[in-house]
Amino acid sequence: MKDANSPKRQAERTRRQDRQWTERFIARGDEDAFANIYRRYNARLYALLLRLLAWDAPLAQDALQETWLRAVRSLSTFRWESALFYWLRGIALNHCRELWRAQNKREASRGELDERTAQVYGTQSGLAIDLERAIAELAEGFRTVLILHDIEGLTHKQIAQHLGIASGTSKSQLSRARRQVRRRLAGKSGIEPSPREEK
Amino acid sequence: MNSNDEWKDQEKDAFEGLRREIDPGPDFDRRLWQRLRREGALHSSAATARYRGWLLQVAAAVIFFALGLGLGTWLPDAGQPRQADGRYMLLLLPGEAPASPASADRLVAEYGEWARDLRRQGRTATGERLAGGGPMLPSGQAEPEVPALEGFFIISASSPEAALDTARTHPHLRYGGRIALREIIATD
Repeated sequence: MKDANSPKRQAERTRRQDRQWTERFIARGDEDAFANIYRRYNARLYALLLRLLAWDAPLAQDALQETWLRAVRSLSTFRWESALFYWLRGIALNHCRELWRAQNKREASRGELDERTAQVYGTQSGLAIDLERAIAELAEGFRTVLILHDIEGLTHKQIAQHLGIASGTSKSQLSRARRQVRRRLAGKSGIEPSPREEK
Repeated sequence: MNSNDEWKDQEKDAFEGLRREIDPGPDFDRRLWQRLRREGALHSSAATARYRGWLLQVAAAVIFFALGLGLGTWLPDAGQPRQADGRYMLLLLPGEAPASPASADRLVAEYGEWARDLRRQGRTATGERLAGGGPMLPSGQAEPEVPALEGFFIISASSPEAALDTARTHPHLRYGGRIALREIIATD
């Protein structure tokens, strides 16, 4: 059928399935229904949290668990005005911000960062590891905006809504974050240094 | 944003190469599942099937109960109370007896649903239905003046007031029954 596999149709199918599983889970606490939702989104949420929390894996796993617990407790209040993953991502992001506000953070050491990125990418993926490391070394605000925009694909308007900041702030933070990442990557894995590196 | 801040193709490729999904591993799954079960949020499909089977057994038991022979259970297991919650017993005292096995069946279903609702909120809720006409000790004889206890529930609640509010929602009251509420004192 024409357009049957278009991104829009696929998103509609995903949304419909998510809603069916969610309703089954709310009505009966059905484990299979929850497992379907969990399998679909858990690895995406973990990748997001791991990056936001600068590859502190134990903290990211605690945050992931907290995200699911909060989601389960409030699934019945979800109004389906957005995709389920957007909502889950919002919960994860809010929890990260709470952790940062509470200063409940422990930056992974360079050795831990190397070890964890190597576990995920293997030792051959030098450029990906260098990029992950450069993102992890950004300050939280810059890191968050860059992850949401350049990896998660959110618009500045969506980022502004999530973080409670102005769109212009999101743009300027992204700009500075990119310059810092570029500076850290300069000369590595064949990437040319930028003529406008931030000092 | 300055155009110099846009990613070049080589940098875009590097971003494309980043993993969008990272598996936290099976230990994480196990820990989360344990936690969700402890909170009463998850019921395995096998448990759901067992529950349906159990409900049918109870429905059959109610028919015998109506003849003075039966015994039924409202829920298969208790769930785990939240750490700070207290436990309370609801003693179900007689109201209007079921007029027929069919109406008793409805009572069992409603009482069971009431308990399941609590369990969905992560609270303990278990109950047993009791046969009437038992002996009183030390005489060992039935004593008609003593109200027959029809059943009981054990629930968790954050306070005596919360337990009272919960007890007020029990369907037993809608059928003219009475409920005695007692806090369970931990002895260990």
